[in-house]
Amino acid sequence: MNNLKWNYYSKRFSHIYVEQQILDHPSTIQLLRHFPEAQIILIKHFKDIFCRKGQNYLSQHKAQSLIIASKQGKLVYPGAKVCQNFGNEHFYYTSCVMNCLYNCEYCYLKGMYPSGNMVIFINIEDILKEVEQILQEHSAYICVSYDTDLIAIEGLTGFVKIWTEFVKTHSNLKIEIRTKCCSKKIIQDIEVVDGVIYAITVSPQYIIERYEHGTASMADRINWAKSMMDKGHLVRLCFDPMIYCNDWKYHYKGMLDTISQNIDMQKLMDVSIGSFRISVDYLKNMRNNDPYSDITQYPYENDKGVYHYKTQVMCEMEQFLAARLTDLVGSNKVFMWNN
Amino acid sequence: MKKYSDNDIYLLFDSRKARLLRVIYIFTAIYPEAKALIAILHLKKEPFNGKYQQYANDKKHIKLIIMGTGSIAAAISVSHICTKYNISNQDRIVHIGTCGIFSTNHYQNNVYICNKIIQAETSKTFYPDILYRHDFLESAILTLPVLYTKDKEKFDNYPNIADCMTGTKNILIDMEAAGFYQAAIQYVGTERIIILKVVSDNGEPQKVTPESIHAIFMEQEKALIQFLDILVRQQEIEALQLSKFPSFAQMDWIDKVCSDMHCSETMRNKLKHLFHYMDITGIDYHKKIEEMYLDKRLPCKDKREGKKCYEQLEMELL
Repeated sequence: MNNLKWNYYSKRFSHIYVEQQILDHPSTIQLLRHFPEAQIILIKHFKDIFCRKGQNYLSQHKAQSLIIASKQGKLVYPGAKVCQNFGNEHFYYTSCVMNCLYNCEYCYLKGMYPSGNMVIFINIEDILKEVEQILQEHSAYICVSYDTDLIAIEGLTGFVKIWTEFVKTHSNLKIEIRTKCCSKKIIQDIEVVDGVIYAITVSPQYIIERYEHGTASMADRINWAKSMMDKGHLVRLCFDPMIYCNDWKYHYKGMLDTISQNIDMQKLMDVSIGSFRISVDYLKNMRNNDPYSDITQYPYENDKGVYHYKTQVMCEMEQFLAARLTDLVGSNKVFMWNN
Repeated sequence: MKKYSDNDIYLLFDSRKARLLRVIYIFTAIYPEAKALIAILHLKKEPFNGKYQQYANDKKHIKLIIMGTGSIAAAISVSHICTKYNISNQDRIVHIGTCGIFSTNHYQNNVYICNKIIQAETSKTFYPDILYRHDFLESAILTLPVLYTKDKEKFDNYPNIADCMTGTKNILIDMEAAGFYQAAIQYVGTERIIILKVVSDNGEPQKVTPESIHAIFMEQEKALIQFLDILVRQQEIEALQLSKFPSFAQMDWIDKVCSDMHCSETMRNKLKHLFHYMDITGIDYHKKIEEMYLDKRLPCKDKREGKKCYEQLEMELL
């Protein structure tokens, strides 16, 4: 009983909420086949569950439920200012899934969403139609895996495959799929397509163990990136967010050494750097949800509605990594979040 | 480290109150339901000091309240008890009672945990979170304002119900769940409200007697104890986590430092937050503060000096 890790939570996806009108949709039936023992609860609209009053994100995430829904209204949004556009003029993002399997303590989703449950929107075809309309006007760069880790749930949804096939037939579209998952299935099954960028977030093992619960190890992420590049995929390494800790220099230097020893840095498409930053409102929610997390409770500096580390710490961290990465990949391939 | 008592109340860094004693409040509608639970959980009658008769165990972390029948009675009693005991997100509110079942098959006296509550009059639907492992069946429950009887079709009066019941082969029917939930959600989170129902009949309430209710509950004794035990242990884990943070009991000391630093309200909150962060990370800020007193950097002369002192402290600690 003295062990705080001991708990009595239900298994993930032991409860699945399904919007009544899509109960017979082939994708719903396909999804439900993965969970024959789950309790299926019919709902009218996903917000009846997802936006309830009095939810606790952290508790819900420990026994995460699945909500299967159909997305309505606007489906593709312009990219946020705090996100990097990598020099792309028309930068958008879209979410076919809300919330993530992983439990990264610093993740903005914990402050953005009222619920820790995962929502899968099965009508990806409607999102693709909206993207097609945008593409008729101009080219586009779309981040499709910001509010979840699509690769981690590819076995359930098949969305990565759908997106890559869509990009293959639309030459003026580039997408980024961000992940911390090292799925061998992706390496084996997904075709190499020019406009698809696999962006893997890399952190020192010390940070992964402390804050990125359930994600792949640093070594696995590096090996995965190498395998993807060897197969011909475009790979981006994201050193974002950089997390402050006492020996951050030691940990980040060690990580860069391991990366440069194991992969051909010249083959990388590019790298991105950014220290942890988050909107004031999101962090407020995260602090309420998780009063014992050192990462949410750190006394950040409020800069026009965005919290970040003290300016001196932030600059030192980002410049430390930028200088080393410039040596390794060249300055034209290094993107900073505030550039 | 200070030894805590269960009744200690701690002021969190952000002024929320926290206490180690976490209580499971069980509400039943009628005495025969309570009688069985009193026996199962070894509860004792509390001195009557209000509107509702209450029972509690020796450790006082399980309390039972008889709330009366019907949604309105349920809502009033939950609201009264929650206000009286200052119930917050540290406690759990559980409704255990009997119900009828509308079923396409024959029924058994099983225990159900309710995952969906439909209020018949309004067709409003509520969804309590079911986060803990359990061995019960799960079902939706329909709350009617009158007793459910088979021979008189009550559903005809509520045209929206058919829609709510799409796809369900069985549905539980009671008179309290919707009112109970709507009141409870004003005080605690969705995962802290639990509705357990034991099926007593399939629309033949005349066959249900106090003796049969007692017998049905006693049949489920083991399952009920097992589930409540999980809730008690979960409460203990949460309390244990809280007790790891010494600053919660040191508000007087923190207030003195704030006062010696001439902190404004904003700075006071920032300082409390800084100490809270230090508690989490295990950085010894007491030593640093004591050093500041020895160096005569504390107490400060005025606000300006206090601000400088705060900045120095933050720089040295982070």
